[in-house]
Amino acid sequence: MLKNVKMNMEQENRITKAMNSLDGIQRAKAPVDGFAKIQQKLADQRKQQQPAASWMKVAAVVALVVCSNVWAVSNYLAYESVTTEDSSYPELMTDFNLYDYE
Amino acid sequence: MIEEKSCIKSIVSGSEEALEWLYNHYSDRVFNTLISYTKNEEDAEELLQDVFVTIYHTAASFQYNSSVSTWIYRIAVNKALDFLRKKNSQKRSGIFTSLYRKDSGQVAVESPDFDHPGIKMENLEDARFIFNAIDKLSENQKTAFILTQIEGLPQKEVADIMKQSRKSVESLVQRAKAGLRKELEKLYPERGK
Repeated sequence: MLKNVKMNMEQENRITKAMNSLDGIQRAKAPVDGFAKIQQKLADQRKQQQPAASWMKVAAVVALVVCSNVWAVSNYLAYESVTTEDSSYPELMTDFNLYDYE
Repeated sequence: MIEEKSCIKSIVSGSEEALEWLYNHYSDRVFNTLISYTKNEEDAEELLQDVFVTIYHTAASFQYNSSVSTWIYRIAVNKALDFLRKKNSQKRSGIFTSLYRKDSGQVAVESPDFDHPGIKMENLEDARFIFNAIDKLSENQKTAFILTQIEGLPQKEVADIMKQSRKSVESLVQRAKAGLRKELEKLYPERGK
């Protein structure tokens, strides 16, 4: 019985000692060259973003060329359809009696 | 305080000098917090860099009515908890993961005993058990315990960082201490033999 009480007290003391082991803890110091590494990370990120930006420029130029071609072709087709559907020729023919041999 | 907030404004406009000023002001505090979570200096250093890179990129979202210190600690705590979640999920799928770190090729198995660099020599052994026991606490209890007992922040500031009331932080710290005692009780009878 006495032995048990003694063991419990011993255990309690050890736990309390462990719980108090963080008292007076000093702050851990950050590495000295830490900021240089952060600057390096930021520079690397910028470099990674640059190729993406140049691809965007190339994509924009390609899109512009495609759009202008589409516009040119559609204009050309529209012009062609206007000329084929011109209804003034039959009138001209009748007015001047071209092809009329009677 | 005014200086800190104008520093954030400078960071928003892309000033790395302002970021350096903030780093010199907060790096030790952030590193000390991170190392208590990671229990590994290399990982804490990596996370420290991540924290300041995040500060640089997200400075524009800083709410000027809150404190810079609270904001920085919140970023640090979130990074540390994300790191631990990732590490735990890797442990769970351990059968499929390599024994070696992907980046450096070093052995990824960590030492079971961590010695915090700020612990007094005579307390090193006991502190090792405390740091191992901290791992078994819930995320909130762990954060409340680390910020109040190791980092020494007032409960009010910890409540702001954790977005909780001061009362609940107080209760979290009490429960964390009770949890740690329980872990130590399991440990000491064996050691006493």
